[in-house]
Amino acid sequence: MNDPKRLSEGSGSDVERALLRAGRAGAPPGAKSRAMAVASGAMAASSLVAAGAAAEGTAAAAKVGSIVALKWIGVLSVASVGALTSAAMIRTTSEHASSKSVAVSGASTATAARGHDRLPILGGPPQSAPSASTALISTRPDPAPYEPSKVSRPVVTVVAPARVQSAPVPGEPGGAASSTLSAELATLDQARAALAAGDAPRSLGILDRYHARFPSGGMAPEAAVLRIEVLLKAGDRPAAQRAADAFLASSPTSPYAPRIQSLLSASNP
Amino acid sequence: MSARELYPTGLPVDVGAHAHASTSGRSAGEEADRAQAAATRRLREIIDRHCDFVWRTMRYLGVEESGVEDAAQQVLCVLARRLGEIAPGAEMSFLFSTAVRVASEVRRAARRRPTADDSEVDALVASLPSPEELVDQSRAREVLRAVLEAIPTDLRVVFILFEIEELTLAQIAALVGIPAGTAASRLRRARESFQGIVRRMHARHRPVVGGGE
Repeated sequence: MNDPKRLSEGSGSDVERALLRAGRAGAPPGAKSRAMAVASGAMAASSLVAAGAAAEGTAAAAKVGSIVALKWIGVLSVASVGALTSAAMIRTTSEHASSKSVAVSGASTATAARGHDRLPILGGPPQSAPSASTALISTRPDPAPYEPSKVSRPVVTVVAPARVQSAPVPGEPGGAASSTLSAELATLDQARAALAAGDAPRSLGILDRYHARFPSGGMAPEAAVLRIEVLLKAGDRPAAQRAADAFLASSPTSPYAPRIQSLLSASNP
Repeated sequence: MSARELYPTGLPVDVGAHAHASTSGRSAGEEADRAQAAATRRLREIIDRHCDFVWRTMRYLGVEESGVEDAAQQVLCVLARRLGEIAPGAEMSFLFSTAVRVASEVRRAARRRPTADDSEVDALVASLPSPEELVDQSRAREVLRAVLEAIPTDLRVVFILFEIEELTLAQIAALVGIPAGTAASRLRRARESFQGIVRRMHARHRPVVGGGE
């Protein structure tokens, strides 16, 4: 295919080129390291939830896993003991173990939100946020997945939180969407935890509730893939195949397509 | 950032593509720690490579500047949680489709329509600064945002991927999941809208030469 010349490469007017050039600016300084900090917190939370559920085989385990995960997310954020032990905070974080917890702490102190100011608490000299988030991962301590008593232990470390901006403005976009997505993610995490615990029927029940509650949910593809995985685990290959066919027919180019193919082929009798 | 940098040819395979899957179901141990470290490395590489892309995608898909960081983080958190399910090489595609969904959620929450109607475009054009003012980069970016918001989303997506992210039409077709011909025609129509608005902006400030390109 012969692509046309880009406007910025000379086929556009001066003004067009100026606009497009300005548009190339990416994330502002610091955003990338904050994103890394929050995303690695989310990753730790989700793997702990899954590991915890597998070990305990109970729904409660998922919750505890999230709470312990909160400790590690707390390591990333400015978290006071009071905030950590408050039920509301824990609930928020277990629902959306990432930007929300950090948003709460970010709002609590604007200075600390700059990240660099209080880094030395982790030990060692002041460092930039990215290396600090590396420190988080490398200092991940004892492997015992959860000890709920630890949750109430003071968490005093500080690394760049997610948000530098001020407290949310009423009506600011993102709030409602965040909560919907958080609720969706929390539901899917429960379903995933049930699957990890070997409880496929329960996982399917949670997925059914997901579809009832979020008929046009933003995480629908993830839910569809999870359902296929659960059906395979439950030994219902025909149903899994039907679900996979339906998904691939509606989203043939989905980034999940290879994953679905590999799930199906791995379970091929 | 060049198209080559942006469009993944595939990240190193040894970074634990399925680390998440392999850790789930095990108690934390040495192997889990190694897998976790590998997954973290992969996550960092993806964020290093694509954070700006996610950021711009949110910005130009109608998320308010004040909400862009939060929305971009949501996208990256979904990535982090699903990392083990994403095949090496499919990262950008995953990020893009997730970004489109998150942006649409955010817009819906803000009750914003994805595109402006004619009268809003008129109002937009009336509010645009003179071309001379566009030397201020942040001002220019605001203008670009406003202009792009007047372009229907499906056209706008192709436009930003081509003109800003510098992907090829073939790459865009694959990423968006449309035939190459559709990508080309959407780009053409998006350019017509974009150039039309910019021309009117020019004409308002320089009535004598307005309309000429």
